[in-house]
Amino acid sequence: MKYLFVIGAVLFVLASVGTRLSFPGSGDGPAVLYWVTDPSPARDAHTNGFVDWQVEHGHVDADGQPLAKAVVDPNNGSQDKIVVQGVAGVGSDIIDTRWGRQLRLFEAVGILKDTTEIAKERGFSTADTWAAAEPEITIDGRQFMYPCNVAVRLLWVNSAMFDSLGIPEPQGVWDYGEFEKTGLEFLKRARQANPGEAVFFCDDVPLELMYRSLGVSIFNETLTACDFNDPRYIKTLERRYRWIYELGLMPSPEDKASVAAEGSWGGLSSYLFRDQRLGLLYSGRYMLIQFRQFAREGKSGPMQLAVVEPPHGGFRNTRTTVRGAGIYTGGKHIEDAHRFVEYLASERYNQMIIDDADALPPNPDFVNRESFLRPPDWPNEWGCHEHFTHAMEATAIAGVYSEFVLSTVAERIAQRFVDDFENGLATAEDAARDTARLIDARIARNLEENPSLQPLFDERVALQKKIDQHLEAGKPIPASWIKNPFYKRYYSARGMLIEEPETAQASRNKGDS
Amino acid sequence: MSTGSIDPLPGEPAAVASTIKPQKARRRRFGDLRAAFFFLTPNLLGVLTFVIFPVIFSLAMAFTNWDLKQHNQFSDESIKFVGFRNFIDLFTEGQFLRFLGNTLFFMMGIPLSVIGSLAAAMLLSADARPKRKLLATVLAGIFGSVGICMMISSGLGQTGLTVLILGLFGLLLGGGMLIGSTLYRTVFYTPCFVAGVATMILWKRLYNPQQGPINSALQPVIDTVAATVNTLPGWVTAALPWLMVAAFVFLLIASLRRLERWSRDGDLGRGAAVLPVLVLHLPVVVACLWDRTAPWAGVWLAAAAVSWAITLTGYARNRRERFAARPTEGFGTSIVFGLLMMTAMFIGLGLFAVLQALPAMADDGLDPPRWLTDYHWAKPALMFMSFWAAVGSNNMLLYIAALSGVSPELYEAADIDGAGRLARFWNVTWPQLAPTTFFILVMSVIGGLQGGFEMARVMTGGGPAGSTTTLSYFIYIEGFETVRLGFASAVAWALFAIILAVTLFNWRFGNQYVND
Repeated sequence: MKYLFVIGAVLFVLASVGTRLSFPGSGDGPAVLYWVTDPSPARDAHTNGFVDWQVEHGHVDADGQPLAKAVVDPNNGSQDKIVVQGVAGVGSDIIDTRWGRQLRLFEAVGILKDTTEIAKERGFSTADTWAAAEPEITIDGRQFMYPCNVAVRLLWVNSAMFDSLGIPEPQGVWDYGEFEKTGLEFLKRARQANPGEAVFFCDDVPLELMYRSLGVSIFNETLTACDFNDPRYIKTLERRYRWIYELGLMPSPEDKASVAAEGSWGGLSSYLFRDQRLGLLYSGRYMLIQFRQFAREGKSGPMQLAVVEPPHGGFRNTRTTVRGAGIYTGGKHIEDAHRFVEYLASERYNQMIIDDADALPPNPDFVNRESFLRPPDWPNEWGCHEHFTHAMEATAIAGVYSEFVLSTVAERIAQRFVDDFENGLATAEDAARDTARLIDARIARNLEENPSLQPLFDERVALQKKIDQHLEAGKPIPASWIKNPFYKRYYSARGMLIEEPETAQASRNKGDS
Repeated sequence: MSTGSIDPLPGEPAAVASTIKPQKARRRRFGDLRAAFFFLTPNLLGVLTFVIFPVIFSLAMAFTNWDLKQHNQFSDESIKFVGFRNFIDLFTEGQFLRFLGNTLFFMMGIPLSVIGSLAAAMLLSADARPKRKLLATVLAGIFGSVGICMMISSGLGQTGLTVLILGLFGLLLGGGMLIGSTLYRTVFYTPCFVAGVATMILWKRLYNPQQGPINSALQPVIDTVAATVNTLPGWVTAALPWLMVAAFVFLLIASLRRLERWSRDGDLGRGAAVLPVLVLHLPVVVACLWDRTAPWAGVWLAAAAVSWAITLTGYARNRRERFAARPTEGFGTSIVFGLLMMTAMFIGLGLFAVLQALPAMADDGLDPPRWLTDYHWAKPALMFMSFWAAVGSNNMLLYIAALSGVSPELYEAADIDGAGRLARFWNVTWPQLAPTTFFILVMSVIGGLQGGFEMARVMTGGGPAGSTTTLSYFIYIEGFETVRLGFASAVAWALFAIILAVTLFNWRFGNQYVND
């Protein structure tokens, strides 16, 4: 028996050694960068592109081999795994970071490297991406990631459906009144044409766009308190409820519940859209991946598409989001990781994003070209692409993130009270008041637990008082006082902002235009 | 005790052999121990590294302010000992108690699932005769066919999934009758070995408010109810809620009288009776405060008064026949009984409110539930799914094994005494199953307190409005979303303390009949 045991133990050790030796990068050859990201089929092309790009740019060893290669790790991309592995010192070299929300969490736990200086040197700084995306990739002016792609979501118009119902499709800019009027007429005719079928006018107009449209944000100008205890937020909750539950313009959560069960890319909305049961689909340019797939599979012809901004209640705005690549602080190949991120700003990578219609390329330098505006294989999309670049430049605003409370926590609290309101457990007034109260309480608790934040908080509170005084007096506010990117844009649009020396990015954008 | 003595070799002096024997035996024992140790080492190391150490470490963490945002390997800030601060915060922040309430709510399904498992086990243990099998098959076929025809005629023929489910159900019923209980046992046990997430996604489809087969099947029933209610005379619909009042009063009286009888028989001490009596009055208090039932506060109070009058009358009449009991005697049985009756009374109260509101609701037609997205329905929806999974779980297997161990002589004796089916079950089967039931209850309670994570994460994300967030999901949120590791550990240890207390309570008060 003991011999059997010894043999087993020896085999186990040999198998372990063998497995370790079979790891990419164990032997000679290029350094291996592990990239935790989603399992999109496009990632193979992206990693192969990295190898080719290094060869093209002379990042090779004496044998002419690229210095590094990237290996996709799709199994460790969940937030909890990234955090646990990161703080344990075994994180992946490149970390896919979704939106500024995750960025702040990852930065807070210390697993993302500050790349501000190196990014300027190597051409992947904030000046090399969309200005509106800056708050999504920076914290207090320090850059921690560079976008893999950038999205702004607009409304895809199902032109064929509007045509068949004899309703003029929405154009350009429209307000809530027009939205309701068009929507009700659309539903009336669609239900006459398809009795008994579930038909929707618009799959979503996010709450965030709606309250921003009335001039409210989740946090105040200095990010020190929640701003939701405001009549405009209350009005937004009520309006959205009316659109969903009373007028049926948008699907309710129970309609959406089936989206998750579908488990398909693009969810139920894309299928409803394809099947002529949805008039407007709120999504980014990336929805074209699904539309093209439908056409390739013969499930639909090339769709008749148009794009329109979401309706507004006074202040036009859209939301930008970023899927970015951050560099792991404890990585073994930091220099190679810098090179990988540099590659994300390159023409080769950006062209792949353009060709795949995977949202917008991270570097705006490459969008004003024929392959982006008029892809030869997809003439039905012509005239749509530029809406997204225009929105990024004109109306897109990033998320609002406070240093004093994690966004995940604040959003969970807000959602809880939205649920309370929509389930009849609270009035809109109560929901708004309790949301603000709980988020403020969470901020207070965080300050108590992390006293190092207190000086910054006090400074910001003092600043907020000055801002409030200016607002009361109707005086414009210096831009540097405002930390909330939404209010910066909002006051600027209303002529209430004293513009200060511009950032490099802003001036570059102006130069381009 | 044998020491493994060895006979002296030929020619070896006996004295020398006697000194060598224990040495050799010791050496051999040492060798055996060493071998055993080597065999066990990998497993021991695994348990020490991945179980014992994290458990102890998490206990230490629960008394610290460890927050990954501030304390990680890339930060210089040191973790501080904060004493019981995290535990105090559990009760001051409010969320813990709320999510504990959710967890306890889900656990209310445990008695039902235990009963379901027992029923399934008894069905699967029943030995049907061939003629009965044939009869059952024919009946199953008729029921299946009629059911499908009815669905088609009521416009549900298009709901292919529903018909398919019904067809499968009929097939299984018929197949089971023909093939035998092995098929049933396998089918009933299926939920236990199918991956949890897969079944949850299936249930998500079933609960789909528009296309889901549950609501598709419910809609005609609900429409019929609405139509019936609308055609009923006003006095009938007005009288219906009073049936529930009567049921409520009956339950209260029956419960108090049962406690009084236990007390008279010496099975319930005075001290032990206090909490069950209070528990039984909780529905009365709620009925007087809840806005749906508060307008009838006088009725509820009168119901309580009548119940007390009847109970006290019985108490006074039987005063001389009382047996003495220790003050804490029968606490476990009576509190469980009290909780069960309290649940039944709350159900009666809920039905009262529903019947009160029904005529007004039926005017506009009734809608089926928005299962997973409605605050009030999300919890029952998940409970029902858990019930389905629990009926055919290991509990059923345990009951099947226990049933096969019941001595046939006991049933023969019961038959000779003239016991009917119910009496046989109540006086023979149930007491014989007591140890199994006790084990199942203890394990279910522990599992119930720890459970709910997968359901919450996959089905509802803990919503709507946190209504399906259980303590285990709360630990995950605090640990991996808020990254407050100290606080999350405190929640975990508070949960452990609750589980320990409940388990000790079960052992102290719950196994009375097991030991009998």
